[in-house]
Amino acid sequence: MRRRKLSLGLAPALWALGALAWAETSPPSYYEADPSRAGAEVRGAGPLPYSSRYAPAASGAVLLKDATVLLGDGGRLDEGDVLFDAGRIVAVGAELTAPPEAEVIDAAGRWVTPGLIDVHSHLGDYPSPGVEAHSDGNEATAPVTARVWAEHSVWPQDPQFPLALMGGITTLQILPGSANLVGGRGVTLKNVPARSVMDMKFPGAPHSLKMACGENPKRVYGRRRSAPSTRMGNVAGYRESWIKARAYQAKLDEAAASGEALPDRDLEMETLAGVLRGEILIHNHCYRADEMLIMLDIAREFDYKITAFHHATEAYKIADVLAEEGVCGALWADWWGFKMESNDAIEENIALMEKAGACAIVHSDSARDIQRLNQEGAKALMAAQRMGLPYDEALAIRWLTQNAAQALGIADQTGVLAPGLMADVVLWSGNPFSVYSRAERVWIDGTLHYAAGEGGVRPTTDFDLAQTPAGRGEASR
Amino acid sequence: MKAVTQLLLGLSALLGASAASAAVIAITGATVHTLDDQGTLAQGTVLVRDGVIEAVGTDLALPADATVIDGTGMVLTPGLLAPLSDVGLVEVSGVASTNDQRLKDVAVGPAFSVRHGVNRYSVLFGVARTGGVTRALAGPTPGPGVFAGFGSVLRLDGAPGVVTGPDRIMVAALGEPGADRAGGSRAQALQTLLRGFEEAARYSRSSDLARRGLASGFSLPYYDLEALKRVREDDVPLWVHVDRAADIEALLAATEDLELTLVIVGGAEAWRVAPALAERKIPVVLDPLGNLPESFDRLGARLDNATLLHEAGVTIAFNELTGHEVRELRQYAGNAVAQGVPWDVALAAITRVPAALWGEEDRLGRIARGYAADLVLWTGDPLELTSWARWTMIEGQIFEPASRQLQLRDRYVEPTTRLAPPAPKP
Repeated sequence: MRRRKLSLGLAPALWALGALAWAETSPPSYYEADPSRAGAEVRGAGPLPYSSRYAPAASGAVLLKDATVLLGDGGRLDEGDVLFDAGRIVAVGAELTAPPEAEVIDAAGRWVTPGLIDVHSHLGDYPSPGVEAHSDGNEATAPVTARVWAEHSVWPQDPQFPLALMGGITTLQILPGSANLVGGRGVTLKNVPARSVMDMKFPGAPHSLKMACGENPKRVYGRRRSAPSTRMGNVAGYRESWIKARAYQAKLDEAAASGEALPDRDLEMETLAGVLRGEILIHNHCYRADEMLIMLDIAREFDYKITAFHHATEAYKIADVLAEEGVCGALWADWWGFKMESNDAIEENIALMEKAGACAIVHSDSARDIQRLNQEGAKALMAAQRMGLPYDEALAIRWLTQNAAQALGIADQTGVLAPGLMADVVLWSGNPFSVYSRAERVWIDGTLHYAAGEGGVRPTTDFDLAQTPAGRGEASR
Repeated sequence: MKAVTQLLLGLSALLGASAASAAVIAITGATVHTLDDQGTLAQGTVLVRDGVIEAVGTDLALPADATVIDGTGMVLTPGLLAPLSDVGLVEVSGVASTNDQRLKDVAVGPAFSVRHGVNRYSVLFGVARTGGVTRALAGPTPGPGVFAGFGSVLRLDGAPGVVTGPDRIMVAALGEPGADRAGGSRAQALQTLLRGFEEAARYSRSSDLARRGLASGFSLPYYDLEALKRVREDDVPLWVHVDRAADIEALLAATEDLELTLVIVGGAEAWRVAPALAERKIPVVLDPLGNLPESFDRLGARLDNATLLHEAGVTIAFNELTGHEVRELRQYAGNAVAQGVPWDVALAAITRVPAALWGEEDRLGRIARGYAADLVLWTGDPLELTSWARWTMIEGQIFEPASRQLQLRDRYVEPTTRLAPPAPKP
């Protein structure tokens, strides 16, 4: 009560001051500031809602000098320089000259990589603390929920976002869980502090659609004595959905051709038809080799593309097929044996995908491992080297950067240190594949979002206030 | 002498298996981390006879009958020890029929002992050895009650008699998991634990006659009372899962006058209680990567918990892990180093300290005369994830990297469209 009285007493004065300040500085309204709303639209249903309102802060020039630079595309520079300005990479090379106003950082002995990208995360949808009230990742009320969008569950104050940033994660895809055959749309985010998920959305990144094979959907629904309860029931469920989606798309095409009325809007169908048109990328949770091959058969039947199989603990058994079909594998380095379909996981999964020429990605699916995705990469590199494959850090970093960007449809924007691309950059204390190395600085679009050490820069979520000790994400001394 | 590979190939051919043993083995030239008084030897020699370490030094005379392994350029450590795990008790975590580490609804509390359920043929043993892990404590997970039961020390060679240390620890749960098992309150979880020991004390004082007529006066059945009696009288350490600082403080206050040997498992907020833990000499088996505020018991979780505990003088060990994960021990130790724990303390937390917590400090966890010849030869710094175990030795027997996983790898190294057997040769 006392607090309420106090605020009542002070409010008018503060309000007056605030109004004055507002009148003088008057930034563009929150909605007008949206940089990327123009153009996109829902097929036949007006402008695309929920587009990105992410606007990177203005940033100046930064020159990192004399670092070991892993470019992200397999290239490496020793004693290399990286120059970025106004949010974009300007140049990568030797002996670069800094503009006069640039911040110059002596990075001798340290390593630079593109910002790491995790293509499989549930941050914000399954935040910490993991209490029931926070469980927003699976709309497990029907086996096909293409109508839901993971972004609408994202809690931007999840204290796990800053911890991932301290591990060098600049971009991450938030996916619905795997309870459903078709779980809903995923979203690609910049790992920046924000009041709304819309302020984190990666501008222009395509939506994804999460699908799931195998044990999870048939277990969740089978226990309720409803379909699916078997793997064959799973497949029937996918096919029935695509049959409906094909019919819906045909109606859209007919309406466009004839000028007649469009069919009624249908959120389920808008998503599935978006996949058929190639606008939405399929990210398919699927462990077993035989099931992945069946999913590829379904994609052939209905003429859509699978962008990536996730988890895919048996990808190594069909790496040749995945290479030929151009399907990425988003993989763990060493998770295994936690259920039947992960029982044949091996440490060389990523290595054997690479060996076959397939697109291999290190993913986390974990609020723990996302903080150390580089170490998961180190494990995969070890397994490759143990079997005599000639892989090195320059190649391995692709599993966490360029290949991940490719799977998210943003490889022309980030994932490689190349002129013109987003200045998503990590400065590491040493070799990022060493267990002792730490991200020292992380820039997103050229803005410094994390700097380790005393007097450093680190985001703090609302949740963190008064209940997060120093040392949560890095040693306090 | 030069021929590590030749030697091993020769032995493998001789034995027709990937495991090899010889009566006398000398490993020379490696960097030897002894975890003992000798510290680290730059180019040490370790002499193994009949499964036991006979000598450790730099200028040892090699017996004529010694099989010599050149470890030059490599690193030798004691076998890694997983302080608390479910190896041997769980084959596939999500398949309940392969899980023998917990009781669902049987009314057995502290008397539950996992030692009769250990499967020495488990494929997890080979995976653990390939990762440099030689021993593990297989412990129960809290089931329906606050007391989970006894855990036992295993030798991971898969030979008969793998349970080398039966019933070495008693496991219990407080905090949120304890509350779930005690009617819904953290307060009652601790009271249930205390009541168990109170009843066990009373039971100990009873005459045989009174014990036989146990119709009244005890809430626990006789077998659980016998179990807690053993914990008290044989000084079996009580390992308590507890994260929240307030719950640790309550545990410390309530057990001040009880003669219990306590070990904290988890201890996400143990750093807040570090001085008291140091004073009471209570070790913490912690997860040095457990920095997420995943529950309200862990809001104070931080990445440098291990550092703060160590600096306060608390003994630390890493880490409770599932049987599938025990090969990750060195990742936990490596990250602890990155957060400020001295390197040798971090290595001790996965070797010497677990041995001590199991009551095996005179036999396991060091490279020293008289210790079991449990050794790992690493290609480099064992805490670096880019290093791997060249081989793992358990009581003098060398295990080359070999597991079901590596067999799967080798089957699919080249793309395979046909898995049918080749046509028989004419």
